Amino acid sequence: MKKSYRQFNQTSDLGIEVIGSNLESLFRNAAMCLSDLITDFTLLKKIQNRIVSVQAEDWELLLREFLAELLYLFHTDNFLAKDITIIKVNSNELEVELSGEQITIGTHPIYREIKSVTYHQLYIKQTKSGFKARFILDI
Amino acid sequence: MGKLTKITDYLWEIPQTGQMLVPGRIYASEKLMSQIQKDESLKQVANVAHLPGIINYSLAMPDIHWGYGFPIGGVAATDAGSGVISPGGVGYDINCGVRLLRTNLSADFIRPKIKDLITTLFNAVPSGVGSHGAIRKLSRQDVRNILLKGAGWAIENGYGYADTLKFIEDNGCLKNADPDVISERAYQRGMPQLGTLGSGNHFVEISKISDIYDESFSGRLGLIKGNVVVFIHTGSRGLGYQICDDFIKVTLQATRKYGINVPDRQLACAPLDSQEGKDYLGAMRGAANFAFANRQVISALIETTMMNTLNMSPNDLEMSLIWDIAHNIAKIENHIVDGKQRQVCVHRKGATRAFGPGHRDLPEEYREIGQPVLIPGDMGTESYLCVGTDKAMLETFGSSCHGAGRVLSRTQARKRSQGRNLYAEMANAGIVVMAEGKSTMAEEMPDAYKNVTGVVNTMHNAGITRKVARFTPMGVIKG
Repeated sequence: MKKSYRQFNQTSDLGIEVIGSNLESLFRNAAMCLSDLITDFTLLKKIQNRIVSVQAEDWELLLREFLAELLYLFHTDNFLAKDITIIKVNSNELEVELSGEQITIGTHPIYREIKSVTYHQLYIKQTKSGFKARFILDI
Repeated sequence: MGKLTKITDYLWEIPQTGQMLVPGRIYASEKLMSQIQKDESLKQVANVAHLPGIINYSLAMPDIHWGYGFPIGGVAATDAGSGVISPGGVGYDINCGVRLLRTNLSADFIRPKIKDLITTLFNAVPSGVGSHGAIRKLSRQDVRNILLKGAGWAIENGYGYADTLKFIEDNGCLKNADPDVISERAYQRGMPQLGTLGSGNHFVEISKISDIYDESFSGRLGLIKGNVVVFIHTGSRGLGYQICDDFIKVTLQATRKYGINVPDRQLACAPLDSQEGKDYLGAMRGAANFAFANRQVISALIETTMMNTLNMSPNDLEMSLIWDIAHNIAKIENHIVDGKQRQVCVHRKGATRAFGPGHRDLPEEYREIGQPVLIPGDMGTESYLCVGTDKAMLETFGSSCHGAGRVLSRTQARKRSQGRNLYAEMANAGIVVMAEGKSTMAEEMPDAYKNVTGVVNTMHNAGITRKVARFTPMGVIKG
């Protein structure tokens, strides 16, 4: 996976910056980033599909809700996404189809436990080349 | 943020400026303050000072570092009538805490067996991401009972002894938990996870009592130099994370509804007398009780495993609880403010309750010496037991530090660990480590933390807590 995210220094947890050429790719890259932070992304396969739908008041909260939902799928079902297809998106609503797999802990390496996606310093900004999002993951 | 000023050798103040309702106060030595100023934690101290109803100061302990919303090491008391409660002032891992168990074993006896012991403990206490299966899978009704009964549920179900409960903060059960305001998702996440350690900075550690600073106090606590103790550091697992996540959404709405201005969305809050505030308090107490039960079950798993591995009876091992503390919590407590008794809500985000001598909430055994405060350091150095003082009651709403506090980000720690064999480094220092997460060793390496002795000495010299004993690690399980 070509890295479309980087980690910035945040003392207690994990600070993440994701980029995307447009908002759809920003959301896609953020989802891939989450899988990549949890396991070896190259080992993930597209075996199952899941539909995820979230609502929020603005783009930033929508991104947080989406990532929190992906984390919930992992915590309760061991499911991690390898790819996503956006079905519907606007500033209040996102519906996506995830392709990925229910990983076997042990077969797939687990790098760390991400407890949650926080609201601290959460933002999405337009840049010259597209969009940038910043968020902090609680470890 | 206004200019930081030094009040004493161990206390600093951020003046009240802008929309801050009180000044900020940080306990730190000159050396620690130079580290603290490198991240954004002081700005977070100032942000917390915006919470409606905050009393006296937005406080921070010397292990302060940049968290989300509150700094880690932050303490804020709000008026129980007119103030607010903030889920961000408790954190995702509700009632993350530490317990300390004494044993009858000497370090010399354990040293040749430590590798076997750590291996068997690593298998007995599930750790790492999504760890589960420590005990039978719980039903929804079981979880509901745990939310209401806390550590008492564990005792009723055969995990430990009833005389243990008085050595747990609040007897291992916060009253008035409300299982009906907790989401189905939280119940589902709690069902497989009781008795599991989790990941990140959570651990089980076998340590040696290496120094006693106060013989009269250590005697009361049953601490004998050269003997072995066990530390457990974990919390409410996925159930707590889910409750925090659920209620930040509720309080974001409440913040707007009640016209509250806070400078960070993570500081979303609700008036304590609003339905939203009461619901969060009821849910948070449930999660805290789950965490008390979790540490109780893990203690029982450890006792059984140690007896089996060492071929000992309970009487040979003589394992018993010294104390169990919560360091991510909000509590309704009575404190003296401006000479008058006042009911307040004390948020402790990475801070430990440290009640002084004579407090009626302490068990009789500790009432004369003050509440034990457990301060684990990083896995390679040392940990401390201190006791709370009268000064803590006057200055910090009976609170003190909770650990060493991070100084490197996880990214910086991974970089610093490159090309190093951390397991071998620890082994050379006489410490056996087993870790589940592939990044855990690097991210939790000793270099990532402040010197815990500096943190503990700051609170000792400031008169907030008093040092009683020091422990050095022999074997560690990390999640």
